[in-house]
Amino acid sequence: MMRIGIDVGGTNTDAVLVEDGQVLASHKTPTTRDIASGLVRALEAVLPATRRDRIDAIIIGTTQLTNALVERRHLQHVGVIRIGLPAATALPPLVGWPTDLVQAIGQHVVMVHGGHECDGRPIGPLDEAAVLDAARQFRRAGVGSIAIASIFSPIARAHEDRAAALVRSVMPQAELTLSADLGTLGLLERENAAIVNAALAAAAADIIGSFERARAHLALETPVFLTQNDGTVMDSARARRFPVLTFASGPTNSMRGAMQLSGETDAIVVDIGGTTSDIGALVKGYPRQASGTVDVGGVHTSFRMPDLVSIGIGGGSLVHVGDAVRVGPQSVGYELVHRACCFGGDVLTATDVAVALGRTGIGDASRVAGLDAELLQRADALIHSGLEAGIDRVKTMRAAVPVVLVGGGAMLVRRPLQGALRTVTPPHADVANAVGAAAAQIGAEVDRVVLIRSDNRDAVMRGLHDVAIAAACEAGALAGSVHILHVDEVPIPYAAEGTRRVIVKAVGELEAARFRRLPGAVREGAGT
Amino acid sequence: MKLCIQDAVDLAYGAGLLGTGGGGSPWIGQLALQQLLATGASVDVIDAMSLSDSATVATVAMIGAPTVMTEKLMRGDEMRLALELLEQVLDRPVDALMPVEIGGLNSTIALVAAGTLGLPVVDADGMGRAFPEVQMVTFGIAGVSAAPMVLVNEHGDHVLVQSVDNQRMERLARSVCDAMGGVAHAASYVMTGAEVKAHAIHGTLRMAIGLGRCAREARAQGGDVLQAIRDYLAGTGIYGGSTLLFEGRIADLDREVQAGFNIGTARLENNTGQVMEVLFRNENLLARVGGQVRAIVPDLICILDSESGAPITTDGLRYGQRVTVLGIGAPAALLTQKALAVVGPAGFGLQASYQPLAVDAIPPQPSDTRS
Repeated sequence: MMRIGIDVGGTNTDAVLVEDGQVLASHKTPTTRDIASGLVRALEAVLPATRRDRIDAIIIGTTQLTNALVERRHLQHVGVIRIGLPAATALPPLVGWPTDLVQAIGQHVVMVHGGHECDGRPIGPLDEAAVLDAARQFRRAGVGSIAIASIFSPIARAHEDRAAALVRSVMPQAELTLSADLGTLGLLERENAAIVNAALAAAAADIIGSFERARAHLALETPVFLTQNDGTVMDSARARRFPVLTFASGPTNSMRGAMQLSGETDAIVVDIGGTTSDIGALVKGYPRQASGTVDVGGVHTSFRMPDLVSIGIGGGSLVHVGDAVRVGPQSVGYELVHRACCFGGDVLTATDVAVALGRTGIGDASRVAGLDAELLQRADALIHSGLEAGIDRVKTMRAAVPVVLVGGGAMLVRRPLQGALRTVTPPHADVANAVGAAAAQIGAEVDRVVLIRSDNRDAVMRGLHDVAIAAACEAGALAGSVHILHVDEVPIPYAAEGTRRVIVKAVGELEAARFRRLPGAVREGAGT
Repeated sequence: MKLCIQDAVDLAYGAGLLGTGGGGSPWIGQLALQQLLATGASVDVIDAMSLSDSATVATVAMIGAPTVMTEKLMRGDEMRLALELLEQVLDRPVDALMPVEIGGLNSTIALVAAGTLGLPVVDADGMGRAFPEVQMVTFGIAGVSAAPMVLVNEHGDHVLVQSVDNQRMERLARSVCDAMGGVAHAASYVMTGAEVKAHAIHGTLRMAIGLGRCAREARAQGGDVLQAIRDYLAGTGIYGGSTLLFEGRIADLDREVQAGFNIGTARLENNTGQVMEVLFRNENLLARVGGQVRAIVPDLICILDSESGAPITTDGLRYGQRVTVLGIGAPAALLTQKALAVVGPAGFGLQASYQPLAVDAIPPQPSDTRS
């Protein structure tokens, strides 16, 4: 099984060629504004290490879409249709959103009559004329991406589907996101996810399009996949439709990569990037998940995310010199290689400190040779104490645990960190994200409404587990490697007693041979 | 005391914790309250003791399945209609509102209704926590009638319920709520100022806001949120001490919605293989380890995220979460023989009898005990 894993980060694009867990080649290159040329450069660097036809898959993890939301960049205006009047007007769409984000996506919000009760009866008929009016209004305003959310759509999605058809009749080219495709009960969280997804439609077309352009440029026939937040893959067509599913795939990849490279399955992982360090916990080889809802870019959603503490220390962090030395949280980000002193720039960064202290061979050490020794010591101490404070927040037990350092900024750390049983920087730590992407699994999900009583619960759940496992194998997972990743049970209120919506996700290792034979099957199972 | 926007955030935390897993998502109420305050509306919280004895106070609440409340959100003017109708039945104006319960969604609902209508809110409630049924309030236990009760839904459908028996009020209200689509806005338990002074649990609104503030400040300072919460509660004089019941991962969840309640069991496992079972019916009712009861209603059983200290509702429980279970001794008003018959194990059809929570003998130290 040979794969290329790629991480397209805000600062660097990394590529690794991995065969059966062994890194055969790796390359790190700055992320370019157009993304594609950096990606081409990274691919060109690792491709010569094998025959092209031996590569089973290119798996890309990217934070570009998350960053677009967080930085309010490359977002498009979204037309929002909420179906549910007369209910829910006290909390209209976009309630509680940060003002700058609302400005970035506009306030094209329409609420119409319709939606369902918890038992699947309509609250009222869908107001089709109002949906058509909304679509015409969006078209006039030049809004091309539409999010539709209907009350209780996870139980009854007919009004969302019908509204989508009506919008399409007015705006055939519109990008449509339906909330029922993205979430479970909890109208605001599900609607938020749909709106964010819709706001990213153009960015997704661009960014994922650039992945396809890079592949075409190199005349590669290998299929391209993207990693999702749960560590499984989806094909690029699905990623274009659901860019929001790539959220948090970066931290998942870096933690899975850290596990692959270090062999530590229960540890704290510190991923030191260009701008921030993300600190999370590995439990039995998987990232510990945050409980409850997660804010992304200030928006409340119900996505599963690794439980991370992010601190403003990275390789590109600015070292402020003045009365008191400070490190971060401002960063030169992807411009490190032009603006940092050691690369001939005029900005003093955390990387310059590491170079001046002789801990890394990158850059030109002579350019930072004249720096004040005391300043270097102080900045260095701040970097270490900042990371240690972050580790302390992530730990759930007082006992020392192994700490694995990964990311391009791992060289900032020179001594064992406090609270660590051991501090490990594995080989290829600087490309752990890409290694984690290459190690991404394939999954399948079953989503069924079932009747559960106390005497049949075990049997019903076992049955659903079996169906999910079979579907994962069907999708291309290696039989025997498949296990249940998560189970969600949503009781359906007021339906027959014991009625629940059960969602079971099974994941396993990609099986090369099957996978090459059945590329079409991957798509169906790759969702979440 | 006039509420500010930060109070809405802090109250949502405190109300979430005191909701003991139920009472609906305070986040929804927080958003509604923030919306209201942002429009310049003012919400005034007054002391129970400042009421005139003859004042007319009504309690307000949303009733129904918490899952439905997060999906079929409020329209916003339901409570205005409920109070108009209630005033018609009473033939006198309502002078102030009071939350029926401090825990969960309903404390914020009372504040939103009060801000919308320009009425003050009494700093008190009938539970000091959250309970699922109409009769489970201190004033009901003391003999105050829940009737007349007006229920309103998002369509403006409304029903007046009258009964001399609060248990029957519960059954009637529940079936109305069911017919209204699973959730209704209710105005009921009309009391005089004198009755509020005598029978409500005082100071719980400010206390819940303070609880949220203390958790927020502990988090900002990188302190121990759980310890900060326990110290704060010990200082309120409302509760009977606290104890750390369990720390572990959610190993299994069995839950369903029955007649509008989220009912089920969460199984928690710790690193030594010990298992705690938490039974819930909207709220957490019973926590036991190997058949041994560790905490039982009306004492408070709160499940918190071990990392952030954020309270987790029974809807929000997920397989694999790392959680901490905190036990808090119930307010004294819930522990009389008369009260236990209504809000104790028997009131929930539990076989076990009430046993007081074994709270930590030594009062927790105010300092951060982690090294």
